[in-house]
Amino acid sequence: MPVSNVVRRNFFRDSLQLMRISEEAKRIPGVLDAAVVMGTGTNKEVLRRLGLLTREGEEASENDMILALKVEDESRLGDAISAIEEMLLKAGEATEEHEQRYFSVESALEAMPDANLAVVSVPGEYARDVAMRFLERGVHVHLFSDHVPVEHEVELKRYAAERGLLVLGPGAGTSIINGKAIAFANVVKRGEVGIVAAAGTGLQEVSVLLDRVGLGVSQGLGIGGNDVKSAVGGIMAVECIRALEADAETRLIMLVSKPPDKEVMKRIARFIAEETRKPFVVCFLGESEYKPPKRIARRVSAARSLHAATLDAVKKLKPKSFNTARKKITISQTELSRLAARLAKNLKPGQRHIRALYTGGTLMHEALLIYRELIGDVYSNAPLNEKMRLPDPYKSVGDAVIDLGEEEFTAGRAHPMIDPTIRRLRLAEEARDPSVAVVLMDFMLGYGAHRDPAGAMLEAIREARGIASEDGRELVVMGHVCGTEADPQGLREQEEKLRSVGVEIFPTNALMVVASALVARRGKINKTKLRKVYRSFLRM
Amino acid sequence: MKEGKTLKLFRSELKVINVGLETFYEALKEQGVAAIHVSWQPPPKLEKELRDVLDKLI
Repeated sequence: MPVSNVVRRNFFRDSLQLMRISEEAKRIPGVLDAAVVMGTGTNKEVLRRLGLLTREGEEASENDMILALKVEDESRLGDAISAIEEMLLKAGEATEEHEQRYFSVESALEAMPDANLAVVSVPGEYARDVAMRFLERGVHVHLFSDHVPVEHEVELKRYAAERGLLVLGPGAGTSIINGKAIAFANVVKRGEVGIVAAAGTGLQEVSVLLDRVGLGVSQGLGIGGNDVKSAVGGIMAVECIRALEADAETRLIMLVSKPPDKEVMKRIARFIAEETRKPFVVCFLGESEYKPPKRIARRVSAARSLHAATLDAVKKLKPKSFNTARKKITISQTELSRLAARLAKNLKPGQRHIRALYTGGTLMHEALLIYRELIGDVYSNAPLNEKMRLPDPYKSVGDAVIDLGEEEFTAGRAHPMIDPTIRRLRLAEEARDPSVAVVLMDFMLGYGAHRDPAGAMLEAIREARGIASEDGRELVVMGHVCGTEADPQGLREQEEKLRSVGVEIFPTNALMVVASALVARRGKINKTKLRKVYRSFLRM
Repeated sequence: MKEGKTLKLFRSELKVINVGLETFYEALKEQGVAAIHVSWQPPPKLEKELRDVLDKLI
């Protein structure tokens, strides 16, 4: 069947528009498969794997757009290309006719002079200029853009801090402001916990778990992963903590981050000790436990997982409902071991490996930390230990944990929380490997995310099981759905869809990770280690 | 008070200007947030080159 690539030189549409057009293009009569993408290395790799790349496409640069088509016969090609061209033109127009569209920051500010927040997601090299124009007008900024040079970040944050303004990000995937989801965020109850997060999906998971155990979020402020690096110095971490300390609705403050650089850690720790009085949960997703100084140890607790941070918040705010909360999101070691044994029952002796396919970077990092304690370092494209870096991120070996949101999978593409293509391809590959025992996946709900992340993977999960079963094997598939019933996708519906294709669902990422290790090792994990992980990561 | 402007944001109704990915604008509208969207395009390359030349000249 003919495959054709048409290249449009120096033509730009954003990855989300292109993803929608690709989906629409697949429905054109006579078209068997289609992808419309910018010509980045990642996109060409994906086209190759989909069997949609030709020499013309191969030669496109990242400023060019590739229209890749597989058609029933050549005669269909001309019409299909015209139809796509039309879609591309439409993508530049307003979605609803009555909506006013603005083409510059100035005209938008004129139209909404009392704007109090700007959400900026332009390519990183332009982010400073756009964000600065808002700050100069006294407007707070949520900066979603990645690849913002660190000197731009420092400039923006210093300018903002001096004027009492927020710069959330760059690279802030998630914020919850006044109960509203900004960028990728879930619909959670409004309440007493104020969260500062240098870890996007960390904020999502912890806000969702708080909701599940009956607590709410006053504000969830994403500050971007770089804020706690020494180059930035924790400028916004400190400003956000200061604001939450002063905010009457916030009764407990939580900080979620990978461990900050040493100097920043000191600065933040000093600020917490000297400038805050509210109960505090520090969740540094790191190798060793951060220990708050003695004089504040009663007020400030330290957690190493999002699961533990949630329960620590319950302990401080509603100590009487601690046990009920714990039961909502955890099962005992005995129960989990029994479940793992049941899941592993039909596995072949050679099926020993774990393959985790994450869309959420913080959840992936949490997994790495737990595996390290339970079974030692695992392979990854974003490992804890450089020795365990996968030589080829597209190919798993041994026990492997993949962050599909990393650069090599996202350059010029929509994030895997929105575009399931890469994970579908990867799941099939993992299923072909006879050494794989268990595959685990996260499913991120909320605004910004795919409209039906579970539904988008169902066929791929069925196919993966089919591949294994043709080879006389069974494949254990685990899932954690990070979401609430109030999310547009609905938690229960998403979980039910996954269960319908035999996915074992876990209430938290941490619990899923422990379960996967028990399955892959057939329960043979050192008891002391398991007990320690249970205490430290699951608070049981 | 340094945190005054942020506290004011926490107590106000959100009024958002979205620049870039339209999906974030749509999500805000869906949640009933007052929002407007700036349809952003990178400045044309030629324009940048021209500007760089002009910057050098001036």
